[in-house]
Amino acid sequence: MVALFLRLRLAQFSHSLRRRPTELLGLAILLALGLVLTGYAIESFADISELALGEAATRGILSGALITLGFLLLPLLTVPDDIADPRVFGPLGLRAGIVARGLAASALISVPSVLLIVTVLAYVLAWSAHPGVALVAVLSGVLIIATTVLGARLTRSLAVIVFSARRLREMAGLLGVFALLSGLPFALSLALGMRESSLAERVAEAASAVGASPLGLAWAAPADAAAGDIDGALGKLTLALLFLAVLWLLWYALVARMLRTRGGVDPSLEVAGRGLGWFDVMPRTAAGAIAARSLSYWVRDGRYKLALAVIPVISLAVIVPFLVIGVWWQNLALVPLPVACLFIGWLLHNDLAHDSSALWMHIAANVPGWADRLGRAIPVLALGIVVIALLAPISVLLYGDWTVFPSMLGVCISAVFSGVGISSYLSARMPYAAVRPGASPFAQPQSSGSAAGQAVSFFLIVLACLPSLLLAGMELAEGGDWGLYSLLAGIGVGLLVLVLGIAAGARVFSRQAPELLAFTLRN
Amino acid sequence: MTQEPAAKSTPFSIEQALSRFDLLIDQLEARSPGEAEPVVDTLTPDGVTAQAGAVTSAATTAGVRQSERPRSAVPLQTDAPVVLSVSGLVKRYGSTVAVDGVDLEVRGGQIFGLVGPNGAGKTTTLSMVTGLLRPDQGSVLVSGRDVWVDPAAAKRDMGILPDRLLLFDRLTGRQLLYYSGMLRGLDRDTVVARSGELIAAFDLDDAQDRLVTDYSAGMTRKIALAAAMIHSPRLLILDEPFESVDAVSVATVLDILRRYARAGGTVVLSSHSMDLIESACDSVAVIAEGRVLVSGTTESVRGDISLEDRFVSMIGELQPGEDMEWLRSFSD
Repeated sequence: MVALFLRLRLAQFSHSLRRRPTELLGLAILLALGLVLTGYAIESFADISELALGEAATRGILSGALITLGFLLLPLLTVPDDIADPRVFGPLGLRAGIVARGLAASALISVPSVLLIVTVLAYVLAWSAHPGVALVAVLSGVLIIATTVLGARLTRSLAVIVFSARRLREMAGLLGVFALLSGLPFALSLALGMRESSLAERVAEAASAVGASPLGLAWAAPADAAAGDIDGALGKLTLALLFLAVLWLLWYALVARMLRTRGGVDPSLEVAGRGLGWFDVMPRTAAGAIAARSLSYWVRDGRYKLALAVIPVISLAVIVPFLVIGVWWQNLALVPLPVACLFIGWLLHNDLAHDSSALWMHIAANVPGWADRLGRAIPVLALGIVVIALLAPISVLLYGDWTVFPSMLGVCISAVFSGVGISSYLSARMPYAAVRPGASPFAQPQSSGSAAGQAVSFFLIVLACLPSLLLAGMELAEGGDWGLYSLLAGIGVGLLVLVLGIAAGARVFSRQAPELLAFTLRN
Repeated sequence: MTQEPAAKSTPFSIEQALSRFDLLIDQLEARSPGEAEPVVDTLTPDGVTAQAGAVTSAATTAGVRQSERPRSAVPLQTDAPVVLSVSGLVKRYGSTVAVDGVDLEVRGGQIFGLVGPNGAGKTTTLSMVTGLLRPDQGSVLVSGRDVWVDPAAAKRDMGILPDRLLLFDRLTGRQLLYYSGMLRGLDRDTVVARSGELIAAFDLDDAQDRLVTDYSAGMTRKIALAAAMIHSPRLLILDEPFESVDAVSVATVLDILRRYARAGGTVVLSSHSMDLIESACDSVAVIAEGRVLVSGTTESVRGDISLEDRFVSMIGELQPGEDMEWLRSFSD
């Protein structure tokens, strides 16, 4: 039976080559990329037999775990149109065990799997050069391949289930990019850390931690054996085997479940019940309804979710370079929150364009400009206030000196409030082409035109933050009452810009609503 | 008169609402018996004769047809107030003139059809009428109030269904109706009660808690139509309301619109389906190349041939087809 699955897989494989030349070119480029990555991995593993033991272990474990992680996460990135979906076999009435085994085995026949096998072979050979490691290396090699291929197979099917609803599918790609972005600082610090001896220690610590995690267990076993710790190596192999068994059970359960269920039903809508969602929470006015609609979009629409998901990544990524060059982390604890607040204030700067032509509903109902502007501002203001309330104390706690708390609040409030104000004005005054509703958030807008609003709004927000930022700087430098002034300046400037921005935006909206609709139609 | 609160009596069905409309009609009829002399409000360009007498006879000869295709109400009344008055509407895009001086006058209590070939300027005209597109010239009066001078008052009386514009489709159907009601400044209880009835009337019960983005094209059209009605406007302006709507739903919607018109409401709709316009509308205006060719009661415009033939002959005069001799000399 398993042989049948393998033949099916081979047939699929040959069919996938019957494509148009352009698609084949794309495949060829991907293949070339895969080959280059494989070559790179093999070359770095080849040094293992010559490097000092500790360094070899660090490099092997970290790059190995990265490879396994990539195999687990990549299926989430790709569009889940799984031709080997277990559900396809539902009508055949096969037992779950047969399907699970067959599909797992056929997962070995794919370009990434073959490249993985080659890479692992290089790893095993490199460690086998050390005396008495060969057996452990071969065993761990087998475990690595089995774990990685099965894990990838599992996440692929999980992706199909979890992201079955079309809207959630957008989230899949989003998560992928999120993972990539958060992996970037890690890779960066790894690359830099290898050079600097002081950081090499920390990287080595990280490697041993990764080596004890499910991702790195099998990769770490040969290193232990080479260091003479045979018991440790065998222990790791046993744990890796256990992890593989857990993966297998999960895979089996998943296949069994997928064979039973047919088609995808979006669970988020089944629980919708008779309520009106956010509309029940918000005030029963036009502005309240617009706020509820905005909130629904912030949580439902891939374009909005992408914007939200990027904020924590950016605000943390900002401090990575400083960490790498050796700035003490406590001094950096104050940085991420204001950066996050800056971007929260900026979120709205092209909100109107995201409505696309649905904007007509506001114009037909003659919604007053202030209600439109205020309604859109409320969710972002609420988000900003919650974020500040939760994270400002934590940031200051990490920094370790409570005297900076007022100025921290001042800068953050200034960023959120004046940011929302400026964005409220500029999203009506300088909208630019946005991705259409329902399109992938990563898609390019159909027409480009000037996107000056983007830069202008960001610049103005930074400008509005300057007073409280400068006063906060004085506080850090001299102490005293400067922090309090910073707080007052932040609240004062923030509220002023917020009110002015919403009023100005409302005026533009009321006067130019038809022109704004015409703008969204041009995209 | 259509502003009556539909939400007060609690176990309220659309049927009851409709029967109340019927009562209203009866009262109207009782007040002015026999005055219903079917004289036409005419706008007669060259070549189209629409004298009152001729139309009266046309109406009587069409009596048989009328019985098989029930119109909204009693014959049109010339003394019905003018609900929508459009004069000299012009829209240019660069050197092309999309709408070239459109004049329309629509009296209350009827279904008024706007027909024309593709690209005739129907959607552009209706966009300007509804306040979505700023005209270069001309004025639009809804119950005497200018859409572009006093939009608040004019738009309050108007429910609109534009063509090819998106909805906020990441909301469920019920949320969308609630949203339109709240934007119109209704109170929550009214909106909730009315959305329930509209959902039932448009047969959207199963879909009400699904996202509008997952609706079929016809269902999207129906929920948009429901959203246009939720504030009980005096005037409904519907651009291609029946596009991709199935036959059963068309019948349902037409029934709702007829009752609405009988109760004194006014519907202006555009369509490219002549049959539909002919059977549904009390009056029509034919529009081509941005101008109104003819306007009047359906009978007067149609004469004694079908509206479609009339339409084709009118448009054909306007756009004589090329000979395309080559199409008949087949190549082997």
